[in-house]
Amino acid sequence: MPFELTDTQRDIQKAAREFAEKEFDLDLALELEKEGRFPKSIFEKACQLGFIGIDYPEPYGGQAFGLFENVLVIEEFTRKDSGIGISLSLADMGSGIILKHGDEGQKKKFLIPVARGNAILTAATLESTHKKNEGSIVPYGEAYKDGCLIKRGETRVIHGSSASAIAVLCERPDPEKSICLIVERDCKGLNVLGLKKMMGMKLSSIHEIVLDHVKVPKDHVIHGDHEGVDPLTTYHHVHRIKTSAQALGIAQGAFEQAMKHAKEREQFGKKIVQFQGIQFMLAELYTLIEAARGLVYRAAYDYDVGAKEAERISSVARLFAADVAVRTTTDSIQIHGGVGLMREYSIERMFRDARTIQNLEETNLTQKALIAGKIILS
Amino acid sequence: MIELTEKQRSLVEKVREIAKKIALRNREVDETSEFPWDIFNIFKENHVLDLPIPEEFQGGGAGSLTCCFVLEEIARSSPGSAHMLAGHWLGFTPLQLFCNPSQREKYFPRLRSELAAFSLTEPAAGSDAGGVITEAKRHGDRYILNGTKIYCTQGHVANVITVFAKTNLDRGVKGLSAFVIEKEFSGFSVGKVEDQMGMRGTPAAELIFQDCSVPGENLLKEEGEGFNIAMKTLDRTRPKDAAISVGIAQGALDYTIGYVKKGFFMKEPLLKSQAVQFLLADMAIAIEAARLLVYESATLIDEGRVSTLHSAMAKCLATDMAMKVADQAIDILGAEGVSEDHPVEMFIRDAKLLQILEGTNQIQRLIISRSLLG
Repeated sequence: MPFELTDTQRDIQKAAREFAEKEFDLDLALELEKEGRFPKSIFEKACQLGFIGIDYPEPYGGQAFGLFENVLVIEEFTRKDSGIGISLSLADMGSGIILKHGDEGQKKKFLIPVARGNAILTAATLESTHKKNEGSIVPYGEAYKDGCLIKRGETRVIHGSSASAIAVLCERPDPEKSICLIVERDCKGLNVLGLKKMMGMKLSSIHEIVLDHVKVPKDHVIHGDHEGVDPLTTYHHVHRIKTSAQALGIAQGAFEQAMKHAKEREQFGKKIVQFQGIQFMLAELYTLIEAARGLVYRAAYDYDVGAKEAERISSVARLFAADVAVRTTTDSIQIHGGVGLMREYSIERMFRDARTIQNLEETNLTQKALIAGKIILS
Repeated sequence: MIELTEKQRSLVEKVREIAKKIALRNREVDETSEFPWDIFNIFKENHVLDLPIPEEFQGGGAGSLTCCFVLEEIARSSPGSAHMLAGHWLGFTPLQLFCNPSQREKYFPRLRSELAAFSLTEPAAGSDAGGVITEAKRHGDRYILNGTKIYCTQGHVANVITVFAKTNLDRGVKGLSAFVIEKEFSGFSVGKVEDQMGMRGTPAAELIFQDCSVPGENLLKEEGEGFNIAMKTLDRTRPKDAAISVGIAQGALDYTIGYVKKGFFMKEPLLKSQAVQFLLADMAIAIEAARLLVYESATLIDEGRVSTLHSAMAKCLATDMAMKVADQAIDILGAEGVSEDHPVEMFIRDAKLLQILEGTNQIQRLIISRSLLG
């Protein structure tokens, strides 16, 4: 685990910061938030500059870095603007699975358009245990030879209105555990239903989808690898780390804004930062954020090097960092006082975004159950 | 143990039915951020609005504890509606405490059916009321007000507003005076209406005074009494914000219990999860503890033993508790907890305001520690 970023990593961090500072305009973010729109032009620029797909190999339009570098970018993005940052970081939600388990053709077909800014590759989970979805995935043709058929499944998907393809993670009975079926937007049987309104994440529209007799051709089916790691596990693993990076950036951003406000705002004849009550709040937040950063970076590093405890650490990082983001944004609102409550400033939005990413896929309860399971079994 | 009287019990039951009905409007109000006059009218017609107004003025003559019961019950279903009611009572409290007989005759009857508000905050005067720079200059038998107030809850729609301005700019809080302002006064206008995180139906408004002419008889008590009036008022209204917080938390717990009975976690029924069971227990413990402190602080007021300390402790504990409990409710509901299909995400946004308004919880801690250290 490196405690020092390399020069290259610092350059990436700096470039991402400068890009976010320049492009993520607050007024634009508020407008997009109101309309629930994806920041398409910013996404395209981020692709052109190589921020999206930074962890794809070069032949697929990437820069051949790891998840660690991706995390550095996400952190800088959400630090500047939670809504824009989250929506960009989720624009290639399905990439982690393809990078790890996809074949060359799949990587070419699905990653290159994203890296070029022409496509959004989202992901959704189809739990067989969900009563409605039970027994819904059956092979058609000769066992997996021609592909798979999703008889019927209901789930929700992020970027539902703008996605070009959805990596649908389907639970399967052992030993395979799960497979990933890539369903393209214009695929017959895919119905994107109404918007599911959430507290935050308004730039990343979430839709209910129904998959009704969707035929997935063989070259769109992704199986697990020989070491027994299945696509669903990979998906959750990567998503946890990306979520924790989003949370870390939001916490850092909310903290910096609280500092700035406390240094500017005067009450009782002094800057409020001179009051110990405020100082200690800031000290605690700083401590929590530093600890979160350590965990998030370690989780990303562990994923990249394939460390033994990588999966468990991803849960720890996700649990801790999301909590820190919620706490920091809540306290930042408190330090801001009245202005912190107003939508024209970004603090209350950061709180809503932090709370939403904390719960959208796996919850805190899920992380605790996973961590407990792992530490007790080991 | 606090026992409700027969009268209080039937009032709470009546209010519960009203609250369930108005709660159907929660989402719409949250989305449009429009002041819900229909809900205001329901409060008016059912004599909820006039509860604290003395019986001799055909009001309900209710004490603080009764008002707290009512706010708690409404907030349990519709926090924003409780906030409207509390905002009205907050505007009325300075009049209740400090009106002279002719002011009573004039305003008490009106406030049975017209909306009130309270305005102290200014851009430079948030926690520090001494920072007020809105000036009230005496001209013969009138005062001329100039300045801008901010964050006045429902100030954009209120008919009668208690406004704090300086009759002497050099004397800090000792230069503050309180005035009863009517919406129709010339020189008074509403500025920006905030687009806020929670309690969106009763937004905070900016009030602009440009040579606003106020009759001298609308001064409450005497010049220089403003700070005293504001503090005495807040001592009596903080338990009400605390009661709303208890209601919000109880509403979140009610909803969570209903959800837990149907939902699943890790492929098991939610109610079988001990983590969930313990969270529910923690929520119930926190709510009950806060509730008792709220009732105690209100009882002290009714017994004529107003305690700044208890009012501040109740406000601080209950508003912090409401945030925590709403947070725990979201933890249990997961993705549904942050979805607008359920009320919890709205309740937590509403709860956040209460940690800040009527003295941030940092100010409450300041008041409490001062009281402890003498």
